[in-house]
Amino acid sequence: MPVPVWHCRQPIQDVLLTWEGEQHAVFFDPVSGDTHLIAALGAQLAEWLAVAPMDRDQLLHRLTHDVDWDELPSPDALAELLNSHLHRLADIHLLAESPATTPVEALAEEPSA
Amino acid sequence: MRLQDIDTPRLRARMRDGGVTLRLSPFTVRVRSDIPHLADDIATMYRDFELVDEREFVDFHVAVLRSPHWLSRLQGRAEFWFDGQRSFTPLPAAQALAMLEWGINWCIAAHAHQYLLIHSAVLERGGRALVMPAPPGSGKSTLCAALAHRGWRLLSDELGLLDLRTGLIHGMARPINLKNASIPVIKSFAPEAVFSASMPNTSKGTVALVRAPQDAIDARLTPARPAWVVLPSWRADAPARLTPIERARAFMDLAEQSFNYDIHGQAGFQGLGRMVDGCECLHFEYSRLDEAVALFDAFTESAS
Repeated sequence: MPVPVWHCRQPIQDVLLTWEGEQHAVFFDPVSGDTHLIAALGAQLAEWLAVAPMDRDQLLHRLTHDVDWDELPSPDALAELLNSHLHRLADIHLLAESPATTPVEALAEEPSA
Repeated sequence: MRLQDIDTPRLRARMRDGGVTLRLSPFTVRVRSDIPHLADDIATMYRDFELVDEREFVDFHVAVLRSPHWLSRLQGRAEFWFDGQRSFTPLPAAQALAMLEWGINWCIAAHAHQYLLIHSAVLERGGRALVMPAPPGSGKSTLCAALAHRGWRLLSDELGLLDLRTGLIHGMARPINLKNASIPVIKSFAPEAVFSASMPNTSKGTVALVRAPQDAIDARLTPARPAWVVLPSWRADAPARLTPIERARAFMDLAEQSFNYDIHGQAGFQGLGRMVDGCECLHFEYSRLDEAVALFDAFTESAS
């Protein structure tokens, strides 16, 4: 069963400012012209998704293993945290969720000669 | 030729007729007025500023003129004019100097988009600029006036002009605008400061202007590289305290206090990001000026 994937909508190096050790980052939405203060965790998600789209499970895996938590949240709490960040970042046009596609559908979308 | 080279009667006459053109670098401003005491106030506040040749390009043509309407004239009101258009509500002629300063600030904030314009005090020491963005009531101008009379060079108490290409911040060494209780505080703190007459009952309360110290006027063409972003707040009886804040927070405060951040779009975002990258960002709480100045001195010396 294919699942939706998340991706970063913007060329991140042009629109995201992060600073080592800080709890917040700044994102500029080039479409609306708005600037948003976002959590460092949201910026980390955007940086991962700028490299390659991922589904929720892949993101949860990276959150579990690649973030230096003081205390790792429970799986439920982590899932809830991820949801809230993804929705917030989608609202401000940094991330977007792509509809699920099967390999066959993906092939069908490729232009033919 | 500088403004002080014109004697009072000639200055009054020139301002009444064609106006005088002042080089308020990086701008030139032509000022016209039929209010004699405004000519005297300008002579005091801007005595060391150059007059520009009449043939040179002028950025802003402004005037503060007596209201032509009979009722306003009876009430002794004056109007601010920009490029031949009357702007703002008429104010008592006794507030003409404040009106002129606010009017020039408005001209710059509304038009000088070659800069990122930040509502902030800017001072310099050792080539490094201290940028203090803050909303009214935070004690920004009072602190700025105190530092400007204790070894810091004043660039501006109101408008930081950030050049997005060079990353340097410019000021104009124009007068510092003080309000209400700040006026006697600075008169006592810096007896050498040159004040305009106090102007009561303005929309901001009683206002007085302080001429920029001589060193600031002499070096007014020299910009500085931002090194500190400090968000000041005055709180009664609070000990002076500098607390580091996140750069992201400082960025948002700077953007909020900018007049034209939105106009610059992504270039403004990136330019402001470069500025914040190069700065230490702090919150500063204080109540006593001596203590505040001593803390700034100690802090900046340890940073050098």
